[in-house]
Amino acid sequence: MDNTKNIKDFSTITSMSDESYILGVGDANVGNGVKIKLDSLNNNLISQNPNNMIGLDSEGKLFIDKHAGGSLFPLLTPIWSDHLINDMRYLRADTFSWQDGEVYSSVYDKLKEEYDNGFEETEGGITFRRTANSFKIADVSQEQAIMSKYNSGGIAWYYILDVPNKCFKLPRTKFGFKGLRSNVGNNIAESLPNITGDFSFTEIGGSYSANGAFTVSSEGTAPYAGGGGLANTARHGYFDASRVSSTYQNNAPVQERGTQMYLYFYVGEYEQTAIEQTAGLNAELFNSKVDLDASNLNADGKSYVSGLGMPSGRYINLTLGASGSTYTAPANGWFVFNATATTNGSWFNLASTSKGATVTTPYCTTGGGMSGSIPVIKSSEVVVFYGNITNSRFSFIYAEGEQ
Amino acid sequence: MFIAKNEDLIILAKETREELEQQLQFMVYTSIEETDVEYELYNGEYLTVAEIAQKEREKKDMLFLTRGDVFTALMKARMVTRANLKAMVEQMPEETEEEQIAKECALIALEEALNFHRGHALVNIIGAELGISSENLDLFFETNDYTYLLPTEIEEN
Repeated sequence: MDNTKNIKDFSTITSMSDESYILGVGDANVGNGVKIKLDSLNNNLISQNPNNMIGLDSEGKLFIDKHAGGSLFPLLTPIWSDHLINDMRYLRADTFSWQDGEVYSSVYDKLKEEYDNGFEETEGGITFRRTANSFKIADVSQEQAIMSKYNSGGIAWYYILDVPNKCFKLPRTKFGFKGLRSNVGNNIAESLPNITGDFSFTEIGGSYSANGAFTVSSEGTAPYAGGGGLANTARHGYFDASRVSSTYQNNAPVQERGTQMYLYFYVGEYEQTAIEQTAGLNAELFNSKVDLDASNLNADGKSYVSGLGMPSGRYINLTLGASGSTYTAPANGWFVFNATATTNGSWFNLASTSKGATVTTPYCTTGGGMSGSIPVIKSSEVVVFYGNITNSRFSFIYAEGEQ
Repeated sequence: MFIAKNEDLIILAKETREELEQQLQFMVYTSIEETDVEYELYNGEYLTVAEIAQKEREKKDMLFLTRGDVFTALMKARMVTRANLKAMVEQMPEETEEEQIAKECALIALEEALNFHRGHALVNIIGAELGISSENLDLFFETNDYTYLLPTEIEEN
């Protein structure tokens, strides 16, 4: 077999093709080129980088040349995307997830190096280091302040570095990028052209007022010339730009027209294990999710969870059997009763036998009303005891969390 | 009629099995039986008509009035004095030992009891002697209204 000839044939074929995912392979015996889809090969061996190569070496053995030089973008290049990018080379920033520095080691090492060589600054209560390459990198201690800044203003362009845990977070913005005006990464405050104007009026009887955008200046005083059968009426003028255009809104930030996009960062080309390949995506999936022990619930989450066990508006009426009857809870919820005493010494009792909880009315006099409830877990049993009553309601109310 | 039991306790009774099973949906029971006996829910228990009547009787027998209430009402309704009452008791037979005990107990009750229960034998003895019906005695002990002890038209005629 003439390997040299075959390799030459192979090279000729590949160099003539612009199809990055199609590979020409020389047949050693026939000498004809055969095209094979590169992405049909094992992606653990060959990534879909269009610069990767596969061919025959000088001994006729198959070889893989994984592209080693250069990247698509410089590390941490921000990218707007109108769709979710299922690619480990891009990390989504607006989920505010902690990213693993062991996995994205190139990015972490770069941020760590920049941080170590940066100079400390403070703006808006946030302390960070501005680096020679214009990164704004904050320590993990600034995370809450940065989160608050983003929640209130829509922009918090800071990388966050957690050195003890070797992880990082990416900057976020709800607004677009603008050209350089002072320092890269700095906020640009909203502004609008001012609207000014003036009008003249005659002050009548010495009374006037002005506030807000209006002022009044004194341009001379004339004697009050009342009489003549005509009434003098004091008038106030008002100015409200929102009456002309809904663009003007109270307390609204200045906002130009735009299109909402995901914000991604390019985090490099590198070797990854199967587990590492999904680390960034998993971090995004788990972001804002409740821990198994529910220890990371915020105030809204705690309120929601605590409400799940409370009575809902859904209920079923039950038939009250003999005193001593046992009922099984159809779901998590509450057994409730209302009754009227038929004689003195009437009473009603609900006992959750398996949980040890009991509710009992005090002895009631004739005609007196009695009511009560007991919370129960699904399938647990409650025994009902009573004496000398007329029952007007015995129901099971489903807990708010039950369907 | 069909009854549902949890062990020995009758917990629910309905005319049809379907109705019973429907209402047993969330109740614990061990058996369903068909029976010719009519059961009704009475104060938390499923009882027969006879058992309910017995319970009602026991309940009424536990009604009581003070001796002042009873003597006053008899005086107003029948012009019966305490001496008259004692004379009635004195006429009770005492041939057997049981009769002697009953008579002595009646005298003790008449002279010593602070309250008279509807179910006490002395009340029935006096009622029978004066021709007062059992129903009217019940009503008197329920209401403390002496008019229930007044002679009926039949008695007056």
